[in-house]
Amino acid sequence: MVWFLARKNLRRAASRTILVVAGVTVAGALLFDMSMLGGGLERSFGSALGRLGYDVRVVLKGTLPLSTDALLPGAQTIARRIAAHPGVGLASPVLATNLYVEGPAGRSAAVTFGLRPEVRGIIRQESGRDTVDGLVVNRELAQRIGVSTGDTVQVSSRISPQTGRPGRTTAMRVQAIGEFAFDLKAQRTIAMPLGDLQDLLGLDGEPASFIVVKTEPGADAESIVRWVAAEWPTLDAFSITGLLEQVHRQLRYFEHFSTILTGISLLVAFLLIGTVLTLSVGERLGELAALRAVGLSRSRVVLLVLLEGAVVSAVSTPMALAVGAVISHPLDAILRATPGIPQDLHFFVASPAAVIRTVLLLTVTGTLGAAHPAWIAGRLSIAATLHQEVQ
Amino acid sequence: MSAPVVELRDAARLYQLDGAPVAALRGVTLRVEAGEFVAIVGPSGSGKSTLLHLMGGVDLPTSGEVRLFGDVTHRLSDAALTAVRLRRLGFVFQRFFLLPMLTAEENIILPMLEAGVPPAERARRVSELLEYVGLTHRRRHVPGQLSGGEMQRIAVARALANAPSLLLADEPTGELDQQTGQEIGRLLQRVHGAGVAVVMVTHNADIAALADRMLVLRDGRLT
Repeated sequence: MVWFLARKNLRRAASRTILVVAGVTVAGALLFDMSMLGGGLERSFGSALGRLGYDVRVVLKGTLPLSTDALLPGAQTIARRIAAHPGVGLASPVLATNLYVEGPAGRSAAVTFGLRPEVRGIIRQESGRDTVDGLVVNRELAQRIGVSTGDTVQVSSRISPQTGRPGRTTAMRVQAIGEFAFDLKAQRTIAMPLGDLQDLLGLDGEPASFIVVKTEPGADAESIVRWVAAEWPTLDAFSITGLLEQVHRQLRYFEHFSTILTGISLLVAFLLIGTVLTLSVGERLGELAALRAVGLSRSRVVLLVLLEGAVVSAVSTPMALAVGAVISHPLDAILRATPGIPQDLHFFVASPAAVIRTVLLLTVTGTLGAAHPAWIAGRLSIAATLHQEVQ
Repeated sequence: MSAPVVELRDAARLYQLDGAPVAALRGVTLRVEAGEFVAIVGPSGSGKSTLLHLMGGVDLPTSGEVRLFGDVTHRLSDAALTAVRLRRLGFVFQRFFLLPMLTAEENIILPMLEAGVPPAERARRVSELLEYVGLTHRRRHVPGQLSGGEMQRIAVARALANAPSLLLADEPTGELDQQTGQEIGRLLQRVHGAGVAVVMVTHNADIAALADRMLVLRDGRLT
């Protein structure tokens, strides 16, 4: 009966109910977006890392896990030893640097990866292949310097700041045009076999920027991390979890931002529901007193008002989720346009946890918003209220 | 002698008004037997509604006692008093207090829903009650579509929904014209005729004359 009355009461002041539902929907949409934003980039990053399958990354001690500035000497030998460790499926050095690539339409700097053929998944050629056994150029660079598959380009290690002339230069044939995981917006990237890049840079001792490690199914990445740290005190190893912790520390301001906006949206929803229900209860004190007189218990009257708050939340929630999901796209696009953000990553990532969090918070807020009017309804004196209504 | 449905023993009700006690009822002793029709008359402010509220257990005496179906009201919990009102009492108010968003039949069904009456039984009883108050054709109308007299008849039907032994009516004709008031008075007489004790507060002498017994309340005392 209380459910029946709650629905009827909300329909009774339909325009007011529609307005409060609209308000809670907007607040709820913001809440959902903030739930998606809080940890969204981490989830997106974790998911991208997980897709590649390289669950441990080894770098020189003291460098950031995603940094490519420092060189790790003897990387090939270290990688071979790691690969021989039980539970490791693959360990391969990766060299990252910047080179200059010149084609018919001009010259451009390019982020460059030197990869061994067994490293798969980091690039995706137009043919569908995901290994590197020649020069692979990303689409952005290919357009910039006007090359396509089969063309020859000049690849230089440096440009003299005095003369503007390139340093050590090698002619290379473009084997394929491809897409690279973690490319930034408008980033120009190439990949070539690791040995070719080491030769071009004149590096001795098989150095690399980092080593990527793929564990066997069922193997514990954290135990590999511990083993590497113990075996090579000059190295740091990070599992995906460890990398995400690093990312989490670096992106904590997003979490603070989302927490503050979450609080504001909850407060708005709370005040909207509380205000409207307080007004509504104030308008029908006589009815509520009469209901109490004809046999509705105090707890049922309280439940009735709480339920009205919960119904407003329940009706608003699906709309809030839909509006939040729609709004998240342009917001995500704005944040992804920030320089230095890989194009595969997203800030607003919908997840079951974000949906559940939004639904729970809105339901609790709706019920709490109804708490004060419910308290008013519950404590009203039947006789005094009936007296006042007749005056 | 049968047990009274409601009995007041030296019941008084004091209110605090700006810190000073104001007596709405002073030492009222009254006994209403099962099936009796009692009218309580008196001028405005004489304590009629307060008396009715004490009898219905929606208010408690500050001294003396009220026995409702044998139980002393101030010794019953709020839940127990609510249960008595739901199952054994019917209330009719001057301003009807029908829920405006519910149809006539939904208003009548409310107490039955709260009492957990099965759906089939509810449907049968609401039809009987609508027929009893002569408003079968108005069952799907909301209060805004009903006249004052019709609303009061629906309120009487609601009060009878759980077949109470006692019906308390607080100025049931106060918002109605003379003729409609007479109709409501006759309806309450029929309710009494069906064996329900009726206590009606009114300042309308013609309506009060329909009762078996008329009591006069002045300055919080029965005279």
